[in-house]
Formats: sequence, C-alpha cells, structure tokens
Amino acid sequence: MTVNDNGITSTSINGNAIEFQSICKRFGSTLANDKVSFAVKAGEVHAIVGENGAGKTTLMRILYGLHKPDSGTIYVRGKEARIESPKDAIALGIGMVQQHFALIKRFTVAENIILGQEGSKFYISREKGNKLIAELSRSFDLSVDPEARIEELSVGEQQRVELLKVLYRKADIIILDEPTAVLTPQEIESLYATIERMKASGKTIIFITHKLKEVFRVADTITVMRGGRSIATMSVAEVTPQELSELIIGKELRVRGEQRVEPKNTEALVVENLVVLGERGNEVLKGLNLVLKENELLGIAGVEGNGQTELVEALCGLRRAVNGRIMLFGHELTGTPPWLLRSKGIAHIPEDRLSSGMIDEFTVYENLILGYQTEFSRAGLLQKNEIMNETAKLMDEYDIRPRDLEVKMKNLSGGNQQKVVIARELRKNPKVLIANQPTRGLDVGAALFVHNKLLEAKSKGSVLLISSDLDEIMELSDRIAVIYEGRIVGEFDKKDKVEDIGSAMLGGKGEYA
Amino acid sequence: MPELDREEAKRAAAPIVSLAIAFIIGGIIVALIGKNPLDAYISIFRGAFEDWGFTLFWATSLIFSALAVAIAFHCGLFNIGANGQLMMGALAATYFSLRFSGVPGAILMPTVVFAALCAGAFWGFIPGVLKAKRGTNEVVVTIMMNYIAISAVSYALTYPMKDPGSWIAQSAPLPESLLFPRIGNTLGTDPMVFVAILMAVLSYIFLWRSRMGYELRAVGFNQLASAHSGIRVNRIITLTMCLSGAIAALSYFNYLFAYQYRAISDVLVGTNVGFDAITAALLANNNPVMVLLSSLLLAILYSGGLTAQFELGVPSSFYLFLEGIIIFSMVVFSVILGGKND
Amino acid sequence: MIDISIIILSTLRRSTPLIFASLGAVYSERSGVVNIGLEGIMLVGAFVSVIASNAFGLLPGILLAVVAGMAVAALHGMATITFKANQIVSGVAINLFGMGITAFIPEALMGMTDIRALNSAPLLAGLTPLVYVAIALIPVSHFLLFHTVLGLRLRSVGENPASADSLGINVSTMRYLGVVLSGALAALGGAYLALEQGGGFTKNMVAGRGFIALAAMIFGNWTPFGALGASLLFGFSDSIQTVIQTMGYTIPSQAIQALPYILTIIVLVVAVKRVRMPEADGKPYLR
Repeated sequence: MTVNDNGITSTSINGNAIEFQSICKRFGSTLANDKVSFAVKAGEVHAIVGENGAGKTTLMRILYGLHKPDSGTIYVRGKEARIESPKDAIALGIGMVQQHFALIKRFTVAENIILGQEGSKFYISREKGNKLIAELSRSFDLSVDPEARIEELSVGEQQRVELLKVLYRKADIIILDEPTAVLTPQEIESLYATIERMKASGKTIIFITHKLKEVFRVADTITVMRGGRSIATMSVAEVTPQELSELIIGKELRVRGEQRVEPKNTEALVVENLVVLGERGNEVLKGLNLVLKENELLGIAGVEGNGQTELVEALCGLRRAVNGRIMLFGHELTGTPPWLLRSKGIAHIPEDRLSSGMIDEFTVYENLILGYQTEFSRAGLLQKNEIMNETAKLMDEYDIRPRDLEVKMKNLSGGNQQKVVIARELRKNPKVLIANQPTRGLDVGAALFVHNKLLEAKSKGSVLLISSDLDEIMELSDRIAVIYEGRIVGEFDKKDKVEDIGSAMLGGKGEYA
Repeated sequence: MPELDREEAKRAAAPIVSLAIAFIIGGIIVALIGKNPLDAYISIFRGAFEDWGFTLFWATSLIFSALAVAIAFHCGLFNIGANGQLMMGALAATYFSLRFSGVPGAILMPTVVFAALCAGAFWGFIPGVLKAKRGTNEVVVTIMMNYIAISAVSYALTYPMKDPGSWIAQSAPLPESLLFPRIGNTLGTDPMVFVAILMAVLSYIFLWRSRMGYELRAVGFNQLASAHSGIRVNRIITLTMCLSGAIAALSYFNYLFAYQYRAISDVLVGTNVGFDAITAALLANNNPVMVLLSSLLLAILYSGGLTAQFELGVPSSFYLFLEGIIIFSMVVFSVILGGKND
Repeated sequence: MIDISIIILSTLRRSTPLIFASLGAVYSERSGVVNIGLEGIMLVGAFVSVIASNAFGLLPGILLAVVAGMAVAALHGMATITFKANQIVSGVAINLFGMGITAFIPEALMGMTDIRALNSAPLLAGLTPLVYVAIALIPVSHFLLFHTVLGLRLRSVGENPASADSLGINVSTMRYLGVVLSGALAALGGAYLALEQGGGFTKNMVAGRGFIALAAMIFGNWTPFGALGASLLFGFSDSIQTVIQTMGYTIPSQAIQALPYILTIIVLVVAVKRVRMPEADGKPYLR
C-alpha cells in the first residue's frame, strides 16, 4: 500500500484538492455540520469516519451541491468554489456515489451513464455510447453490460455503474458514501482494487465509512467527525485502531446498569430453519436458527444487508416465512399477522423510526397509542381521557420534551421521537422486544438512555438487539450471534474477542456452534 | 407554542386569502366584459340570499360529495369518482323505489337508502380494492368508473327503466309515499339538509374520535408505519373507499325525492357535483365541519350566479371559472403562506 | 352493405383528437406530471381555434389555439412544478377553468354559446390535414423520446428526478417542457374537433374525450405508438356504433361507449407487470 507519510503528495502544485473552511449546516433543530474545517490532498484516499449522524454525508452532499451550507467556504484546488448544484460540482470535476444509488431502474446502464452528458446535442447513438462505456469499463476493470437494465443488476453491479457514471464525467475528485455497506466480501475486495486503480490514475478519493477495518485497508489520510464537527485529520500511519475508535466514539462515559439480570434457561423465542424471500424473490434468509432465552439480551451482529431487515420483518409478521417456524414460549407464531403479535407480547422498535416507527403528522399522544388503539377504545370510539392520562404518565417517566401532549411528533428532536417509540413499545412489558438499530442517529445522551431502557426490558422479558454498531452489541449483549448471508454463522460470549466476531461478520471461519 | 399557532393561523388564512384573490380576479374579468364587478357580486349574494331555498338545496348535494372526498383524502386517497358514485346511488334508489312502489314508505325508504349506500359503496369498492390489492392508481380508476356510471345510467333510463310515456330518457315518477316533505313547500327544506349536517358532524367524530378514523388517518399519513403497528392497511383503504362512495351516493337524494320526483338521465349524467366537491373539500382543508361552510359558499356562488346572469347578463359559467381560480390560488397560497401543500 | 373505407375514414376522424391528446399525456407523464386537465385544455384549444381562425384564417387560428393550450398548461406547470401542488387538484382546476372560460366568454361577449367556424379545412383523400399531422407526430415523438438527448432527459425526470438532478439536469425545466407540450397537443386535438369535425365551437363539446385520451395513454403503456393504437381502437369502437345499429343489431350504444373505460381498468389490473407508469409520475420533486 502506498502511504503518504506526513501527508506530502507530489501530484498537485497546491497540494489540496478540497479544503473545507468552517462549514455549517442546520436542519431544523439539529446542527448537522458545525464549523467543519479540513483539507483533502490531491491524489490521496481520504477516509471520513464517524458514527451514524456525525455529519459525514451532509458534508459530502454540500460538496456535491445537493445541500447549500448555511455558512463556510469550500476551496477546490485552491480556488474558492461556489457549488450551487450538482451541475457546478460536475463542472469542477467532482463526482459522488451516494449511499442510496441514484440510478434510474428502467433505464439501461448506458442511458444511466451518459445522462446529462450525452456527447451530442440531439441524436443519441447507442453504438457510440456502448463503445465509450466498454472502453471505460476496460480501463478501470469494471465490467458491466451497457445494454442491461439497472433493475436486472445486482447491487454490486449497480455500484459499478455508479462508479462508471463518475468516471465518464472525468471526475478527478470522487466521493464514495459508505460504499461497502451493501456489498458482499468479494465485491468489497473488487471495490478496493478499483479504488487503488483510480488512485493510481491520479484521482482523489473521499471515502465515507464507519468501519475501522476499511480505513486501515484503503485510506491514506483520515478525518474523524463527531457530532457534526471535524475532530481530527491525520495520516493512517500516525494512528492505531484503538486510538481511532476512541476518537470516533469520544471519551464520554458509557455507564450501564450495574447489576444485570442473569438469563434464565427457559427458551423465550425460538427460530427454526427460517427461510424468507427478499424483494426480488431470492432467498434472503436461508434456514436461520436462533434461540433467545428469558431475561436474555441477544445481540445480532453483522454487516448490513445480510438478512437483518428480513429477519425482523419475519418476526414481526410483516414478511412471510417460506419455510421454518417461529415459537414463543413453545407456542407457534409462524404466520401470525402483525395485529395479533402485539397481543402475544412481541414489541418492535423499527430500524427506521421516521418511515416505519411513527407518524410525524400525528401528535405525541396519537403516536403513543399507535398499534394499541383498540385497547384505548370502547364501542369503536377512542377514550381520550384514558389516552391523555397514559400519555402524561409516559411523558414524565421517559422525560419526553417538550412536555406537551398535543405537540406534533415532527416537532420533536430525534432523541425524543425515539423515546416516544420506546415508551410505546415497552409500556406493556413485552415478552420479547425486537430492537432494530435503536440508537441510529441519536446523540450520546439519548443513546445512553435507550441502552438503559433495553437493559430494563431485558430484566422484565427478553430482548433481541440488531445493530450494525458492534460496540453497542458488545456492551449490552449476554450473547452475540453473527448473521452472514442469511444464516447465523457463529455464536459468541461477551468475553470473546472482537476480532473473532469481526471475522465471522465478514464470512470468515468463526467457531460454528 | 407561539410558533405553532402561527403555522396554524397561516393554514387557516389560506382559504380566505385565496377567496379574496379569486374574487378580485373574477371582478377584473367581469369588468372586462363591461359590467360593474361590485354590482355583479352584490347581485350574486343578494340572489343567493333571496333564493335561499335553492342555495340550501344545492349546498346539500355538495356537502355529501365533499364529505366523501374529504374522508378519502384523510386516508391518502383521491376520490374523484363522487360523480359516478352519486349517479349509481341515485339509480339504485330509483330502481328500488319503483320496483317496490307498493311497499309502505316507512319500510321502503330505509330499503331505498340502503340500496343507494350499497351501490355507492360498490362503486367505491372497485377502485379501493384495486388500490389495496394491486396498487392500481385510484385516480385513474375513479375517472373510468365515472364514465362507466354515465353509460349505465344513460342505458338504464333510456331502456329498461324509462317512463314509457315520456319523450326523454327519464324514469317513471317516484311513488308518492317516498317523497320528502318540505317546510312551506320551499326547495332546500327537505330532510336531506339535516341529514347532510348530521353527516358532517358524524364524519368529524368518526375521523377524530373513532378507532377506525384514527387508523384511517394513520394509513393516510404513513402506510409503512401503520403496517408495522399492525393496522390492516389494505382493509382500511378498501373500507375507506366504500365509505366514501356510500356517502357520495346520497348526494342526489334531494333531487330525486324533493325536487324532480323522478330520475332524469341528462341531469344525472351531466352532474359536476363530484368535481365541485373537490373544491369544497380543498377550501375546507378536508375538515368535515368546515365542509358545511365551503359547500354553502360554493352554493351561494352557483345559485347567486344564476341571478346575476338573469339580472346583469353575467353568464352563469362565471361560477366554474371562479372555482378554477379559487383552487389555483388555494394551492399557490398554501405554499406561499407555508402551510402544507397537499 | 358496409363500406370498409367509410369505417376506416370514420375511425381515423374519431381517433384524431384522442391521438393528439393522448400523445400530449405521454409527454407530460413521461416527465412526471399527471395532467388530468387535458379535457379543459382541449376545450380552450377548440374555442380559441374557432375564434382565431374566424378572425385571421385557418392556420393562424390553429397556431393561436396551440399557444393558448400551452399557456393553460403552463398554469398547471406553475401550480404543480413551481408550487408543488397536488397534480390532481390542479388538473381538476384546469378543467373547471377551461369549461368555465369557454362558456363564459361567448355568452358574455356574443350572447351565445355556440360559434360557427367560417373557414373549413381542405380535404386530402377524404381527411383533413390535422389527421395526417396527428399520425405523423407518433413516429416523430417516438424518436424524440427514445433516441434523442432531450427525450432521455425528459424521461429521466419522470423516472427518478433526484438522480437526474444529481447529474445536473434541471428537473423543473424538463417537467415544464413535458407539460407545455401536452398543452400544445391537447389544444391541437381541440382545434381538430372544432374546425375539422364539428364545424364550430359548442359549449362543452369535448365531452369527456380528454379523459378517454388519458385512458388511451395508459392503455398504450405511456408510449406514443401505444397511445396511437389505443386511440385507434377507441375511435373504431366509437365509429362502428352507427354501423352496428344500421345492421340491425341491438347493442346499446352505451355499452360501446363504456368500452374504453372498462378495457382500461382491465388492462391496469391484468397487465400490471407489463403496463408501468413512470416511477416518479405524479410526485412533486423536493430536493
């Protein structure tokens, strides 16, 4: 690997491809970027690391002209740049592969690549386009059929198309937002190779990630972001993984409930040989087995996209099991519709609070009864007094602010919204709580609150915690199961080494139980 | 929270500002054709007041359809098929009235109402169930259902249900026992006025106080979160469209049983109430109680517009034109004033 | 005895307004804007074409009708693209506005609801020139939409405006273009109805053809050739009504009138996989 010691590069006169100076950006009540300043040197692979919600993506969207900063300046190759729209960014030689691909599903690969820079004023020649793309594919070893429609391609292939889009526009500053989150290990390896090749051809690469392993694998320089601020920029050679993870997480106290209830031997939730199909009809869960004991917090660790979402949906009755079964204290739950599962004692904190956990146009009290509205109604009419009393109680208990029963959910901060969701789900002391990425996008204080609530739920029932944050899993779990390609590939004790879990997450051997 | 109050106030201001703008633009147009705008508006409002019976009569029809649109809207559904639903309701009512004309009114009327509700519900069920099960766009299907209803009504009143003694496509007179009483024999004082008001209040209670109303609004705001919470989204969508169609089906009851005493093909087929209802619902911000006011206002413009035509020669089509401008200013001003724009 | 050529000519005549308007709908919806205001725009086109051709002659009359159609469509564009209003609501407003103004002006200024057209179009092989224009526009539109830069960009904002935006394509410009083109074409359909078929303007003369055109566009899977095929089919079913009656069969005309609508629903339900609307059709774009 070519590491630029002391960060000196020879590829550029000025040295800096990009320099951010005091960038600020506010969304509603959250300050997404807070005086962010650092420089990216030309020709380097520059990793921007930080936890979810640290402001990495916002900053990159500003650089690519998708957001306008509230204040601050961006210098591109030493010159102050006004980037009002992606068009300006493209003109400056900046390209971006967004985390959620910006591809048109019904268009062909070629159409997606040439869109906006078709190479002629009027007529589009398919042959010409295909030839150009074939050449480009060859020189960066990114093979893909130009005539294929995007919807026919795998995720890895789609990413290649995104890369080709950027390269086709002759971008020499390339932003990759969490490019490995959705890839298989093989695809990740080939992405690394592509990054090397792009770097060798003199391009500057900005690489957003929250995975340390990747940083040390591909980056030359690292910028750490935390809570919207840029904390530090350093060369990879200057830092150890331990130091880096401390920088990312910060030195805040991570105190948990002291005495934890020990798991009992009773099996609360049993999943046997579960097979579930994904959106495209492919098997996403391929015979998954799982046992959750009473008073246990079982952490499911794994790289995103290995079947976690489908597992949760199957457990919540939102996705049909093609095979296998789900048992709760010996009673079969397979095929039970969502509206019955709640009464059986299964609660769920959804992965994406905004889209599936709450209704932002509803008031707090309306959100607190979501899914329990039957309990609060008689003869088909909602019992407002009961609802209000319960809401007032829960708002006090969970310290939900502002303490206004009728405030709309959308006017609450992310942390308070999550408190509403958790208050609702824990109110009935569920036998099994399924918590999917429960602290995503929350600040440290709110995350701590959530963690303590999860431990409380464990003491009263049991908890299945799905998280891409391995530290969170290590902190809270009694036992850790690693999910990989639709199966549980390893089970670990909390005393086991992080490295072993990490290797199992990447499909490595992992002691198979 | 003062900030929130301001938002609410702005939203409430949108209809008023829009109406003012529409009246100004309308006034300019009236001036352009060489009439005095002030005279025209005075004539409209005085006319609507003097002919209050017709104004109320017209408002009544509108209220039912506007409630249908508003309720569907809270579930995120755009029912632009109120025309078709009201036609099918009227047709079913006419059929049952004539078929069982010998049955005493006290028994027959409930049957007739039930038949109309079912017909309207069925006309809403089709787009509803297609939306729920197959994701078919309800706007397209309700438009198609409108025209299918036109064909059905026109066919029924031209052939099987036609009054043999009549020159035009219309049914035989409806049985005496079913005709609605009117206070002082004035148009617009039949029981349907009170049913309409009651229906608006019930709709309000239904939407904000009942469990199904809660679920319906939840689905309207966020289908995914509703599904996660165990609400049966597909069922709610289908039921909402049925309910919406059933309410719309009552729109022309006053026409049938308190005005023309028979079903006339051209009247039913030529209706525009289902579209006026969209204006009314929009002006009322889909609030059922406010629908009473917005429907009354549109009825004033319509009924008074006829007076203005008679007195001043301002064509009655001024009403449609004004309605278009009202909607445009509504959508533009709710954005400018920072309210929600859907 | 039925003369086949009479049926063909009659089919073409009855299809032409549908071809124009449904092709217009293709442009609008491919750019991501649903335009149920076609009916109102056709009315405006019909009205302006008669007034203007009576004053300035046939060709200027048609051109002014097109301009008027574009102006009304631009109003729809302003509401839905600039102000991100609900596209259905705005479409309803366009229809009310179109119905209102085309009835209001003749009544107010001339004291009548019907206006005769003074100029009539020459016949070429039994058909007026606009029929040929309508059919010629189909391959032209196909080429424009699927083989040119403009077409690619127009379709891209209807499929995934965020993606198009991130590649520097101006979403609003493209959508305005789609909507305004639909206005021009719908107005041509209206002008044909008034000048070449009806011999003048009568109140509410479009009589639901704007909605049939919408159905034809869906039936034709959002493509120019599909819209042509569906328009011809609907025009054919319309024109054999009279033939069937003269042959002594007693199929009520209402059954045939309902056919396009029933077929469209069936196509939407049965062929869900094959019939696909543009992904972002009907959705305002908020960055």
